[in-house]
Amino acid sequence: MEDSKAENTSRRRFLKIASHTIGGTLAAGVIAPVVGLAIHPWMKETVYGTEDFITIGKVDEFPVGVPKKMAITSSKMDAWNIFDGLVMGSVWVIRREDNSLNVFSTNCPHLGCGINWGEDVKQFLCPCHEGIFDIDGKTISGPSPRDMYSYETKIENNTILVNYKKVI
Amino acid sequence: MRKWIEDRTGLSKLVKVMLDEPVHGGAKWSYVFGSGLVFLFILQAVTGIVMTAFYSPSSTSAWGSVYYLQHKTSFGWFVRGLHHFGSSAMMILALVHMFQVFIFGAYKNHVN
Ligand code: FES
Repeated sequence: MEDSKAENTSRRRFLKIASHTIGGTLAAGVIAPVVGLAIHPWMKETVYGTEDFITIGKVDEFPVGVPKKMAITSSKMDAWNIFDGLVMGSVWVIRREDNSLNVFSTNCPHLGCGINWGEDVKQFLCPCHEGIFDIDGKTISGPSPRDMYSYETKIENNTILVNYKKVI
Repeated sequence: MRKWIEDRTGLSKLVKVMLDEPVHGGAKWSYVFGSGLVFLFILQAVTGIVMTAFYSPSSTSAWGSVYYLQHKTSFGWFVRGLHHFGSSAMMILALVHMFQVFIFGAYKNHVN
């Protein structure tokens, strides 16, 4: 009688542990992925497209020696939300014969007005206070304390990339 | 800590009542469908709430948000799968449970 009772208890214990183990394992297999999904935005990067270099076009879209104005558009992706074609600003792009590039901000280093290219005088002209810059962005005359802002560029697969930062 | 939680919520008492409930006429495998339904219901609710956090109910981004959930998140495909198949399983279990209650006459007053 005593023996069978002891056996009964250990059997009961075994079944209890076994069923809790199996049940616990199965439950963990369901709970872990659900928790993993719930904390996903915490653990992983969800915003893409904030890289430094922004594509502005193919090299042959730019005539040699003539500044061309380009809008800088960024595209950002936040999870499933796509922000495409956000205009951040504009730049003047000058391509040279050896395919080297100069990229200048269109904002005047004086007080930030938009600089134009004067094709007849071959100079950059600021309409606000008559600032004048040459094709390399150097100040020729006017109140500007410095030369035009320029940006770092690189060419990859015939595509021009600009490390655009807002300067004004 | 454990005692504090117990004092506030009576959680382990609830678990005891749920798990150690005496079954009239002895436990049988044919009685699992009710508990199965409770489990599935909780599963549907929890997976549904978690997935809501990744859903955007708009005509422009609904598809994109589901795509993101399915392909870009950790275990999103798995949780969505659980929810998907869980709903079908719930229908089946509900029917089986109904028949079981009906055939066993479980809705009648107990004598034993
Ligand atoms: S803003 Fe361009 S010269 Fe003053």
